Amino acid sequence: MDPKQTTSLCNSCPKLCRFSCPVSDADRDEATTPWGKMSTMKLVDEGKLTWNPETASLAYKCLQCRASETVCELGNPVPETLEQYRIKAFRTGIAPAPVYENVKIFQNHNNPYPIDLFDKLKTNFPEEIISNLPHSPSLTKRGLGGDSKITYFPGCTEIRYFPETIGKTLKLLRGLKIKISLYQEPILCCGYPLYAAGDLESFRELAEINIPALKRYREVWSSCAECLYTMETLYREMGYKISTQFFHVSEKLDLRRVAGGRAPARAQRVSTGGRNPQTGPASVAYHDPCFLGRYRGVYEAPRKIIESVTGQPPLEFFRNRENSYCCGAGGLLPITSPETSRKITENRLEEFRATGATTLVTACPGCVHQFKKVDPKLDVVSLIDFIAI
Amino acid sequence: MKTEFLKALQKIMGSERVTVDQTNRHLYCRDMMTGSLLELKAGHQPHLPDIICWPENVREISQVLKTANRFRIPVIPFGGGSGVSGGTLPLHGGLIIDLKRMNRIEKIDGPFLKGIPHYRATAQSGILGEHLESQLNRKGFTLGHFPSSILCATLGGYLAARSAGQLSSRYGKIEDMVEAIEAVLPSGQIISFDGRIRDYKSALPRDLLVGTEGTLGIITRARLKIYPKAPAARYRGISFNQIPHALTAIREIMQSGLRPSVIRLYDPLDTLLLQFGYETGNRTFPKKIGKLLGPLKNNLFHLLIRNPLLPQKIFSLIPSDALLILGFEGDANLIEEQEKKAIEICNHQLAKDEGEGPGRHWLKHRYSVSFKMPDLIEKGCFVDTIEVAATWDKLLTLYHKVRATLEKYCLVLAHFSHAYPEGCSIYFTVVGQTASREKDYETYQTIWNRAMENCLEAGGTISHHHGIGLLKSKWMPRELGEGLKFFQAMKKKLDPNGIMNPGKMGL
Repeated sequence: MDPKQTTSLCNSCPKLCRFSCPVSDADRDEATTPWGKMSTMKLVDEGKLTWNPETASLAYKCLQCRASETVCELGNPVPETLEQYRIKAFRTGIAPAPVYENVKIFQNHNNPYPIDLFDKLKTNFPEEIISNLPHSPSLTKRGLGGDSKITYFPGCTEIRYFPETIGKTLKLLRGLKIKISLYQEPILCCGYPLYAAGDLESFRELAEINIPALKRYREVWSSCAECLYTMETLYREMGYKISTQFFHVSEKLDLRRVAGGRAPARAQRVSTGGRNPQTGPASVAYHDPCFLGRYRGVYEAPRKIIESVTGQPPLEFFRNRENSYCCGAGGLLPITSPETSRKITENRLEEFRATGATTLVTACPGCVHQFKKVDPKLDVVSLIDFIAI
Repeated sequence: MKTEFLKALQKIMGSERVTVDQTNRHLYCRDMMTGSLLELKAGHQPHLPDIICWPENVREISQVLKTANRFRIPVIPFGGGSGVSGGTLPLHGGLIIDLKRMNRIEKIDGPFLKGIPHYRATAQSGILGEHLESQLNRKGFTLGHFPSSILCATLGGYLAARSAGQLSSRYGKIEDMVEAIEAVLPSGQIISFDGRIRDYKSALPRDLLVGTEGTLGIITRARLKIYPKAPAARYRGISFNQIPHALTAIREIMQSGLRPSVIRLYDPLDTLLLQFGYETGNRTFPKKIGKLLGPLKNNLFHLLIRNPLLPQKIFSLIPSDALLILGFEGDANLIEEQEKKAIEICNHQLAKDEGEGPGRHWLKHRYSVSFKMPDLIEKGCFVDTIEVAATWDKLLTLYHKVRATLEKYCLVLAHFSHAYPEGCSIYFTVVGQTASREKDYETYQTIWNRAMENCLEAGGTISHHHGIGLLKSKWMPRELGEGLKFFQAMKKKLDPNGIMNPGKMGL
């Protein structure tokens, strides 16, 4: 991909993807359309605009959600192109200030949050899961951890905000007789926040630490498709060889076995026709996360899992599957343009309310966190929390 | 003066919604007129606006226009910036008013009589066409307006340029869909409409302002007729040996009282290129040509496009028919009958029914051509579309005259669409390339000059639905004749200081 070609192609187009871009939908100007962002980079390259914090900031006005790229019949890679300009901005010291602050936090803690992830796991994990950490005698004895070639990689956001979900995930999978360990290596972030910041150097350093650890496993499963994309695609694109296979948990759940399990109260309520004397009508709508959907192509598995538990397919957002609309949390937008990010989330939640559903289910910890952040009263849960006992 | 004006604007809407920054000035300096792009690629200086602002309501626009009038600042209303006639070019600098922050559907109401499906929607003019249609779809309605620019144009842009959608034969052009408009005159006066469905008071500003491309005021809101989504649709491809036979069939269909949603005839070259990549029953010949051209495309593309007579000669030797896309929407039984009747009319003109395939293919790819244009531009070509119209008696002459003149300079494809009982529009697509971008621009200008001259000589109208803008401005005296004096007088009365979109529409 040559950024000069991709920006020029965008510049010649009559902005055919603008309707799909959540950022331009929220900001409603020309500069934040994919055309505007790409044209600005072209004008900078041609010397018609100067490369300064103002022009560089437009490279960060992108959720990296791939909505525009999906709509574009020429498949012009807008997020990937803008990423090249993020790298340039970061190197030249003119990226938005919050980006550097975020990277600083990252460098101190090896993740985007000011916490130690492993400590957080130890502190917050349910006791039974802690005692079942891989290599623990009890787990090895039962054949569910120890030398397992399949490991569960918890993402930073999941550890930070939803550690109990990790416990539920492992319990659910082990209940289905899947021999899976919890990622036993020093828990580091996959590095996507560094990549999105444009700090390629730190990203590479982190990748070099992560790769030998990941190589020990035949399969790595995660609930975070962003992590999967980073480890499966970005690491390889940077020239690292890794034969490990990566899967989102929803791709691997055996539907019949999930259906055969005991459904939690929430799912039972839905499966009985959505009527509950205490809570009134209940129904579920499923939000497609960008990294699971457009990046990974997984649309039906989560829907089938929901249906296998509730007995009915989830309600659909008007924009769904490959036309799904980002939750607003992608591409570091919550730190670089918090108002725009919030507006995007509100737009998506408006669409959720139009579905008539009372519960929002999604398959990405980042989406769950973003929705909860904007509407703390919203009944939003991850797929695992929805189905796990 | 500009500093004072800027301060006044900031006072009206706050400093965050007013900017003079270089990035925005460059991004608002052009629309999608091919000429502008070629000029920039040839190294010409852009027409930069001085200020850009984003009002959020009609009162702000009113105050802005009052202030601009006081300072004599040119004002250019801006929607999606997707126009292809240079209608939003800030020729004299000035203020761009971007209307996209006024993007709500305010109301959907109806039916007004039980059982009578009459509905309407009131929407702000900054809403994107695709968002308007999809939001109506969510509630079970359609506006019925599907221009190629639906993905990127705003309602205000539709109304300013009198746009036409691909289903115009059933739903009409945008001026047929709009019942009333709210607009701000250059003086700042707000012309609103009341709640009544249709009356003289609301129809008059509509009839005076729609299609005037921001030269007389800014349209801020519109009340539109909308329809419950059609329960059924049928699409078909019908091929003809001869264009005159096909045009006779189209005329007879339109004059018989049938109301197709789509009726588009692609000339043989357009048909040949359109058919690449898909099969139409036993019609495999174009596909073979496509395969043959595939490897050649990379090697000889530029040679052929720089010598347009050569490929056109080659293409003329390939037996290819003109393909008619025929579509109907509505009650399933009714449209089945209508389709039968339309096919019967076509059969009298030696047509061949190609079945549903070509119709469905067209439906699926109906916006694809817009994506091909940037690709061709990046390959070093220039591409543009010239949409003209004429009554049936002049249509064929117009087609041949323009085509014969232009094919010396570029590859010329054409389709006939937006048919009426009285006539039809012709949509020429021109693709060319010369030795340099500067020469491209000169050739491009020659093409337009020759096309417009030929159109006017043949008795056609120079614009059907892309507007006049800057591109066709110089032909307005010949297009409107005495009518231009009325337009000029109205402009002088409403905009005595000439602040509204100066240099456009022959004003």
